Amino acid sequence: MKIEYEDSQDTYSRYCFDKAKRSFVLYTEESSEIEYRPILEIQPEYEPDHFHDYLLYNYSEKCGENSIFQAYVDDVRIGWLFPIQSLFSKDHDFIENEYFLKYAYVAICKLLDRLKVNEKHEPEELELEEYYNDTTLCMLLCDDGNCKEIGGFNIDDYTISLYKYGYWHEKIEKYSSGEYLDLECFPTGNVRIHLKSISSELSTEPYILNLLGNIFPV
Amino acid sequence: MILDGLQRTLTLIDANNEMDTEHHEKYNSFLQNTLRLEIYLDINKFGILYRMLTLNTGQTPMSTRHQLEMLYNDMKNTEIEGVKLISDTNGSADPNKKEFTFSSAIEGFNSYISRSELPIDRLDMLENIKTLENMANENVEKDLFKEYLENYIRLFNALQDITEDHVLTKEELEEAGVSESPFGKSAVKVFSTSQALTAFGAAMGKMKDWEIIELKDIPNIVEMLQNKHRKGYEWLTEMLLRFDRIKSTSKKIGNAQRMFLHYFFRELLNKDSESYLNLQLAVENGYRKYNSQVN
Repeated sequence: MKIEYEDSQDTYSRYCFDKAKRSFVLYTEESSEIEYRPILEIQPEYEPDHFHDYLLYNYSEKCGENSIFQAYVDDVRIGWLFPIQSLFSKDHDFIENEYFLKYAYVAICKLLDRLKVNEKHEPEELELEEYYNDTTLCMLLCDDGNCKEIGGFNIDDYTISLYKYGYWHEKIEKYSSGEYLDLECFPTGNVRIHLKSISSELSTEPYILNLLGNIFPV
Repeated sequence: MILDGLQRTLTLIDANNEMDTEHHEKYNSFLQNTLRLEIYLDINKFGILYRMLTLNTGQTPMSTRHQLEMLYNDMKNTEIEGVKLISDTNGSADPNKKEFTFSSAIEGFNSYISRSELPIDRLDMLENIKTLENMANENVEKDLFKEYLENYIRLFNALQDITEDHVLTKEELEEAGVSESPFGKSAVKVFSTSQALTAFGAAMGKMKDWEIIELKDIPNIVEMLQNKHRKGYEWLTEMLLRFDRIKSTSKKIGNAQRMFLHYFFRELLNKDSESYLNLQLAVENGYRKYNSQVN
């Protein structure tokens, strides 16, 4: 994390969650403070370092703020897949879901970690949603412990499965009109989303690797 | 109260204090400088807001909404038309006890003067300029916030009255096909949300600009609605079904709800609309218009 403000010449590079205030407090080296107050009643139970996050895009009309899923590989829940917008709103169905709220805490830590911005004016409070205000942006947040149960999770093996539901990697936004997708299989309601790995035969095929790596990388 | 120029005033006071009074010539020369002062006597809050925005246009230190919150801070925990404005720090407002959240009322008024139901989070110059243009058309002698809120509460009371304050039961929701967690189970709940207050604000602001109706017309319209409309809550269950659809498909649910309600109010209150004073039609046509905008 690195948030620089020109007027105050403050650079924020670390943060902690203040349970009493229910807000994140960001610090400069000189101990200046700025807060970020999440709108959700997030539950700081998990250690963010035990999770891995992937930012994905979904341009499908079917993928909305309420498209919040538990992601499964076989019978193992590897984590949650949700739109970033769901972290900044109280209008969806998961605002009281304690499991989602635990993941939401980790997700916000990950978004703060990723933040590298330079702004002219230092605000009274940080508004994280200003930096992730893309309604197509989603996060797959994986629990490393659970992923070990399936022998480790390598997202490259799940390119096709994610693509089936319209999820793309942020790096290839320009390809992602979504107009070629027929997402009849896109889950509706509060259900699980099942991801399947590419077969081991295909995953060693150079042509397939090139196709998935350079044209459809997730 | 110093509306503008506080920093300059303090600098002049500091300069005066620090100036070496032994150098009378320099000090006298300093005192001979001309100051331009504008003094406003007995202006109301809307007048103060207009000047705050006008004088600070070049600096844009805070959003209109923030300035509104400061300006009307003394109205927290007061009553307007029997409805109490509850501040966020005093817990959540209970619409069944005729309580609105203060910040929702402010958001609604902000929507009225900005003519937009959507939240304007990021401050920009354009926002200020547009707001100033809209405010130029208002009678700044009135307390517009109070007028906006009083009229909204009249309509709110009428909708509550038409539904006879009915709270939809689990069975009724199930029979109508509404989800287990609806947007609200009563008119009171639905129309005390920030979505409804902002939607009404934006709809009224736009209709004023188009010379269709103004806030002062609301009492008559509400009276006609109450006299003409039969009692019932079918229209409310229809509305909740639309809210369910919005929830399952929207990229930003809150904004979509606001947009739908904004079209609902425009349909209901516009005498040139076929849905005029017809809640059922206003729901159907309001949703149709919302849908045509997003798809």
